[in-house]
Amino acid sequence: MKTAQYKWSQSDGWQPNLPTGVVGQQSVVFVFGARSLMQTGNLVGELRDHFKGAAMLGCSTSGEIVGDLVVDDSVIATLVDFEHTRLRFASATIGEAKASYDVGKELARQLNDASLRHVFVLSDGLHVNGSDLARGLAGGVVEGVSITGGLSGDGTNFAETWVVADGGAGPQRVAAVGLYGNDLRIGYGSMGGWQPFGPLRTITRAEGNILYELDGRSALDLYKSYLGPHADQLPSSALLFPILVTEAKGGQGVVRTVLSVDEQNKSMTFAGDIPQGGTAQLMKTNVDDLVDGATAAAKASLSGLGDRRPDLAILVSCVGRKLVMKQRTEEEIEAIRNVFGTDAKISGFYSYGELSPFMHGGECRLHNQTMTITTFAED
Amino acid sequence: MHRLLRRQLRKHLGVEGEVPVALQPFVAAVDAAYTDFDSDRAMVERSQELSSKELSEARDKATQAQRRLVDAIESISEGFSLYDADDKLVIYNRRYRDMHSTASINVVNQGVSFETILRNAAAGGEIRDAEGRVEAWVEQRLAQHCDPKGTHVQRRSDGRWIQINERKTDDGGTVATYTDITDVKKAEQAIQESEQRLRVIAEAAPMAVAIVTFDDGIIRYANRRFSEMFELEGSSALGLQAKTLYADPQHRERFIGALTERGHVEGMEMLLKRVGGEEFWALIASQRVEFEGRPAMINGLVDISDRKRMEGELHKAIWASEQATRAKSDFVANMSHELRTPLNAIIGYSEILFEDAQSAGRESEMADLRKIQDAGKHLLGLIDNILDLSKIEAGKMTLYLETFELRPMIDSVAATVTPLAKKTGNALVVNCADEAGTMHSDLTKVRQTLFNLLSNACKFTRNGTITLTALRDTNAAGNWIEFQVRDTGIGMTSDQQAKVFEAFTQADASTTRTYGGTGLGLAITKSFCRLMGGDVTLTSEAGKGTTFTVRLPAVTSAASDTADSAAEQRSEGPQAEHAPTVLVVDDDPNARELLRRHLQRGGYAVRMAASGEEAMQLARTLQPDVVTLDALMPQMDGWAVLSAMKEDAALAEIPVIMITIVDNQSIGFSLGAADYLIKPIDRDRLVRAVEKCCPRGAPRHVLIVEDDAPTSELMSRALRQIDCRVTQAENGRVGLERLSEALPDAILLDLMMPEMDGFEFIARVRDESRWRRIPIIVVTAKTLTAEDRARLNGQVQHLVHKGEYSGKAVLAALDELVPRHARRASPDRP
Repeated sequence: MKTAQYKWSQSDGWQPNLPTGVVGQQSVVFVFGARSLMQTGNLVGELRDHFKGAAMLGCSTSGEIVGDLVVDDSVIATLVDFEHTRLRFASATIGEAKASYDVGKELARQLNDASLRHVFVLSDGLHVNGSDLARGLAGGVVEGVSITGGLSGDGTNFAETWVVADGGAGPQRVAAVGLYGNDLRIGYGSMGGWQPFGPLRTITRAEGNILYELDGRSALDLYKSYLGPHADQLPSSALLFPILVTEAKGGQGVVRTVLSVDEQNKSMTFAGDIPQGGTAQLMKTNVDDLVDGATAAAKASLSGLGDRRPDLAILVSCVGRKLVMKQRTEEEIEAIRNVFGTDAKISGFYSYGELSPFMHGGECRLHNQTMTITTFAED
Repeated sequence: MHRLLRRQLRKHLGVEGEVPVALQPFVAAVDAAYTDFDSDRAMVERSQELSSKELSEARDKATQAQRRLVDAIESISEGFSLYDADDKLVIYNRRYRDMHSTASINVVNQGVSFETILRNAAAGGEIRDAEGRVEAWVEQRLAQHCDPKGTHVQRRSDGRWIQINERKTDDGGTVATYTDITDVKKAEQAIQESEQRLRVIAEAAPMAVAIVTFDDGIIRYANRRFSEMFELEGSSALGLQAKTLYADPQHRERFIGALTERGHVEGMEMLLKRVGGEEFWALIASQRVEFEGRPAMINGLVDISDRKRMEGELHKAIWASEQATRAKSDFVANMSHELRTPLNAIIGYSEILFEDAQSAGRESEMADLRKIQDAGKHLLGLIDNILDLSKIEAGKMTLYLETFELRPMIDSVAATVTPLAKKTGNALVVNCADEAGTMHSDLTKVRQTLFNLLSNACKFTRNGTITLTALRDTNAAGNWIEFQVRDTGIGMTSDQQAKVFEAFTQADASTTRTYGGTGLGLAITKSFCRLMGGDVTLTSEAGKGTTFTVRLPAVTSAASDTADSAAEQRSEGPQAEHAPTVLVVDDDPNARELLRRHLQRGGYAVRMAASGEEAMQLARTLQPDVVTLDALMPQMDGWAVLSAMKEDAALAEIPVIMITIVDNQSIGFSLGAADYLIKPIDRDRLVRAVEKCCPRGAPRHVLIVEDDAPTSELMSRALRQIDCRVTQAENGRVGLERLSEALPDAILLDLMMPEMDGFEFIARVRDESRWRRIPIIVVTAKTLTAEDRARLNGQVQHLVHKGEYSGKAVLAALDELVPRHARRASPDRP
């Protein structure tokens, strides 16, 4: 596996300069960048021109990760040229959020194959129900195929998210790459570093991913009281207080962040399902906890690689983490670098949702507020 | 810029105001970090504050909820305990604590282990089952507690029963409720004991008892006596089909029907069958009950075979006694007839001899002959009274109802009594309005009643006043006629008054000697009054006089057999519940329907028969109270039915009313019989009867048809004395022969004769147009039965009853019949 990274910024343009020439058959360019740059310039077109033969897969972000840095308002392209692993790409357009399950199934149908090893998926971050998408995908592929990925971001604007696929870049899209072959090693880990606090609340009214009431009171009002002056920055400020959601029947809780709020209906739309009758608890964190979470995720992602160090690690971290860590955001990337060592190529983005199994061998689920890492190595 | 950063820049870098350009990005980043830090800390603090507040609220709610829970647990009627996974007592209520006695109550506290409490209770002797085996019991109870299987019952040493319901909680604890079921247990025990007692009683009872479930008819319980009664071995009654024990399926049907309808049956007699096949009578009482939740009946049975047999014997005895009574009555009736015939001769001839002696002026003979005559008449009176009494006794006395004017009747009675009153120097005063109106009753009996009372008054009053008062009393109780006979005679003591209406009793034994009489008159009077629906009472004072009061209904409603039933009818009224049944026999449907309407309106239940044969059949099954018979019917006519009924022992006693629908022409034919005389013949009456038919002055020829020669001779003589030509015939057949030889002006006819009787003779005479207009005077010793009357229907103008035996009385009676212009002045009349 060969990898190369290129960064575009307003001040410096592409650094280093984009090479010219044909890349290998099994090549993919992961593109992560600010939506405004993707919309206005021809950066994606430039990449396609320079990396003829390689497939494009990327999305808009709430911050790009390159090496040990977290940057904004840039476009990061990472060329990955697999030696043995075969690739297949699939994409689809999202209609309504409730069609997410079908989109997942459709992508799985396109990619499924006996030799399929892993699916890396990038999705629109606002018009998709990540839980449904993950279920649709997981249900459509053969057992043992792991699925990771994330929901694209839009800074802290929550206005429009883009996905880059072969057909071009645009909103309301889902794109995935399937990786095939026995020479591929995939590892993944997903950790948050958030702690629940305050009373356990019963989800008294919710429909799909829309939450109305907790303990019979308006959930939006509750958030506003906790956010205080930050309530003005809803929905992004709500990322500071994700909730731990547990279904009525019990089981492992999942972390959910707010995607949007509806003042009129006093409702909040989350990135995944909120089960009525289940329980919810507000969560808090601090920089150290988040960094510890990132470290744990990195360590977990190594378990799938055996004795190998990763050649490539794609980090999908929640925008909520970045809002908490602010200037200290890079500390979690540094922590991961410490785990992987200096050889691994690191790329990724701050997202509106992460897709990964909880633990190794588990089913892919939508996560919020986590650092989700997918590591790649080829024998 | 953050205050702290500005102070630090000044203090450490000496920067005052503008930051050097090279340092500006750095200072901006540091400034942002400082501001973020403050903002973050503020948010964390608020979060803490808010969540603390929320938590304390939650805690308050939890506390409240817990308090409610504790209150609830405390208020339930059961004991409650919750032991945690370590088996330490966590929650309990007062009832749980109170279930323990002094030995263990003090260890019942939070945090104490189940085993500790258990051991204290067991060792303290609180648990009945643990007595003497504390260790074993504790071990057993602990095992049960660790793996509870729902409910079990614990018996406490103080006699209480505690039902313990133990369950495991999700977190490994044990929750239990303790219910005091002592009352339930006691009730159960009481029921068991009571059941046991009842079983013992049922087993020892002399009555056979069985419980049978309704749906399948199977015997579920039977006592010893039941098995004995049906000769069942041991307990083989159980499981047996009850219907196999009934001898008659209809009895069973009737029994089940009654039980279903009323829920119980009391004292029904049924024919049952022992397993050996022997049938027997039993008295059954039954009640619907539940047996093990199923509808059933509990039956009590008593074998009444013996009683049944005795009843049968009793019935036979009663029947025999009735037969004997009837035989006696018949005998008395026959004897009286037999006695009357010779008396007829004695009285008749002594009368003739008296008249001869009178004409010849043989005074001494006259006195002797008068004695013979009086003795004969007295004897006749006695015989008649005995006959009346025997009829009353046998229930054969019937009423012949007719409508008559009161005033003429009173006058007639007064006229009859006047000579008697004069004889004892009494004045007779009659108080009766001229417009007294009519009465519907038995004329003869009313007359006899008044005559009896008046002659009685004459007998016991010397030189006094006898007052006869008749008045109508119409009030709410009905329309009544009241007669009063008041005398100023010797009167009666209260003892005498009490006995005066009893038969063969006079007020004083010595009275008979002094005043004569049979002692039967008042008893008969009383019976007659009652028979007519009324009564006779008296008020008297010894030495001052006596007043008899007769109250009779102005309209006696229906013919009644006995005084009792008359009284009954009076009390119950015409709309009595058990209406008398009348069997109407007529071949003409219109006539039947007409009668039915009339009778039903009169309060009778009516059944109808269209032929004689049907009438006989219905009469046997219905046993009606009265039968009306149409005389003229095809095949079996009314007379034939009547004869058949009289021959049938079961029907002989049923009164019969003969009904003949006679058209105008027939009435003309039937008017042949002009009068009716009763033996012994009263000469005066005979004469009057004949003179009514054949006016004096013209040559008169009378045909006498009579089998009894002395009677025939007596009548001949009497008639010859009034210048009649007389022809005699000894029976109807000879009578007809004589008729064909010469046409008489009148016929004197005896009813009972050999060869051809009077009835047939009349029928023949009626059939012959030449003879149809000859007046017939019926002469008979026989007291006419309803049947006789019916056969003489329309032919008899008047009946003279034998009670009015005095010649003068008969003459007085004849006054009613004989037209005034035809009357002959009699020297005897006042």
